[in-house]
Amino acid sequence: MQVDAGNALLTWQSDSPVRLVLRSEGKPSKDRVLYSGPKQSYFLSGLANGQYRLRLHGQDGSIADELALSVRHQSLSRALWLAALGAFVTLLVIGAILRGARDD
Amino acid sequence: MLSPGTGWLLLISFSALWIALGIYWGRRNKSFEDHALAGRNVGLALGSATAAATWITSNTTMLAPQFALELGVWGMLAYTTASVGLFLFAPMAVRIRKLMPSGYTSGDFFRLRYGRAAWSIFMVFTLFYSLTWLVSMAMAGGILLNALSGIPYVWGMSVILGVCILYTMRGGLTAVIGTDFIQSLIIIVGIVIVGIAVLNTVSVEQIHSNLADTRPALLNVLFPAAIMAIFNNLLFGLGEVFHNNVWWSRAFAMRQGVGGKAFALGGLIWFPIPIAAGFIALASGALDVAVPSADMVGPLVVADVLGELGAIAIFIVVFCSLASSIDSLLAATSDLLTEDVYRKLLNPAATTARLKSVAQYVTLALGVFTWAVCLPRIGTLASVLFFAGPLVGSMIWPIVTGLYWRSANATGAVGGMLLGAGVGLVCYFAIGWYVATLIATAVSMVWVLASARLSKSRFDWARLSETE
Repeated sequence: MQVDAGNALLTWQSDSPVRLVLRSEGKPSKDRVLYSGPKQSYFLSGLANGQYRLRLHGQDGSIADELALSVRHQSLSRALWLAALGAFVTLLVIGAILRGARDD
Repeated sequence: MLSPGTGWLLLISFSALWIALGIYWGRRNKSFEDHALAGRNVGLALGSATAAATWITSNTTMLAPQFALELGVWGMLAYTTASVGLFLFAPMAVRIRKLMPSGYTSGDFFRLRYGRAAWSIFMVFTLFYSLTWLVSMAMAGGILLNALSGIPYVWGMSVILGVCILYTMRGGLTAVIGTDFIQSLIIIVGIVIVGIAVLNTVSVEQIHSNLADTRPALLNVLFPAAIMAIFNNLLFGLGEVFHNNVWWSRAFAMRQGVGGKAFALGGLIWFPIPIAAGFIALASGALDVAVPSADMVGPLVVADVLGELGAIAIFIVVFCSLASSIDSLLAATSDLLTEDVYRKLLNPAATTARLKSVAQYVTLALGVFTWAVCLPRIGTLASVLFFAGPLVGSMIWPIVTGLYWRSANATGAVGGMLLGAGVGLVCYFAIGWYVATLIATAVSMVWVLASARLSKSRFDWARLSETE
């Protein structure tokens, strides 16, 4: 699974409580327990660029197939260009309103 | 989560309060002007409160935390940019009241300023936006009341919509503004209590440390998606406020000299709400609250921090947020249809008492239509509301230049709206929602400015002061 804003909604089906574990494939890689309990979804957000693996552990010791998650944020240069365009348009709107009617 | 019994008790209590107030405040309404514009006599306190309360929708209390959880600190700030719409509408309200002392709707402005073609496009755009907003609010009402207390979706949606229809029909804008005043006080007190409770449970340092460890992108000042959302959201907010009759009807309803101050104060009151709501979401990790879906982060954190009391508080805040927006939309859209379609197209000789009666029936019809659309619980209309972004963005420049520049003309307005909305919608599908409003506004701006620059015509402002 590939995401471009660092967030993903994870859902699963289980009759018993589960433990959701995230492993980031950095150096060194590390495991982090995201959730333990009976719910069947988890909203993951704020991930930096990188490769991640998600594992679901059942109460009986079973482990579901790993899910590979690739986070690649959108282009920063495009974001900055669009922000600059947005700032320009906004400033012109503000200017037009504050300047008011000069030819009444 | 609350028990359904407690949920029903709260729902029935507040429903009875709003209906009683609506009937009480509406007893002096005799004419269409009384009903639609509260006799053009709204003062500063009620004016500021209604501006803030109408803008505090269920989106502010639910979507602002979602923005923070998905897009971090920038996302939270991006949501607050919607207050810029109220700040900039303050001087526009003064201008509107001056140019159109007898005006009723934003449709009046388009018809008198740019003619029938521009007015027709405006009506299509604004009705699409208003009905989508109305349906999404009513649907959110059913879904949220169900999530917070277990009240069945159809019952929750039907009761909240029915209550708003009843008191809006009976009391008109007077009831809408009066209930907005009380609702805004409840919402602000609720948010302040929740914010203090969160800060008493976990410190800002703990929240920062948790975010840095587990959700680092939420603190990143160069988060691309969040950077793109800032100005797109800001311009979406400007388009919503500048064009919609919800805001124009308030500008017409306020006493001479009140509009500018009321909208600026309303913006100031509204500004901290999404910051507080977003902060709650950012604290979810430090509080160890697992979030099963982004749109439920606010209620989950509040319930975790305040328990039963928090669940009651969030239920009341959500109910007030929804009611203050649904009633405003019902009133403003029914006035638009009554004034622009019934009076101007079908029955120009209608008496003011007849117009008031038509406005009440239109409110009822809008409510029944909304109820019928909401019944199947589609649940995806929030995304349709984003689809309206290019439409409202494309109207910003025709409105601003139409209010201030004599050289602004129908060619600019019609072309700006059609080109801006068209290109914006293409970008919506080709790139994403986060650029659609921005591109639509930019394209519309270029066309409108070029048309005004090349135009030799000069509009006579006196044509806007149409008398009945």
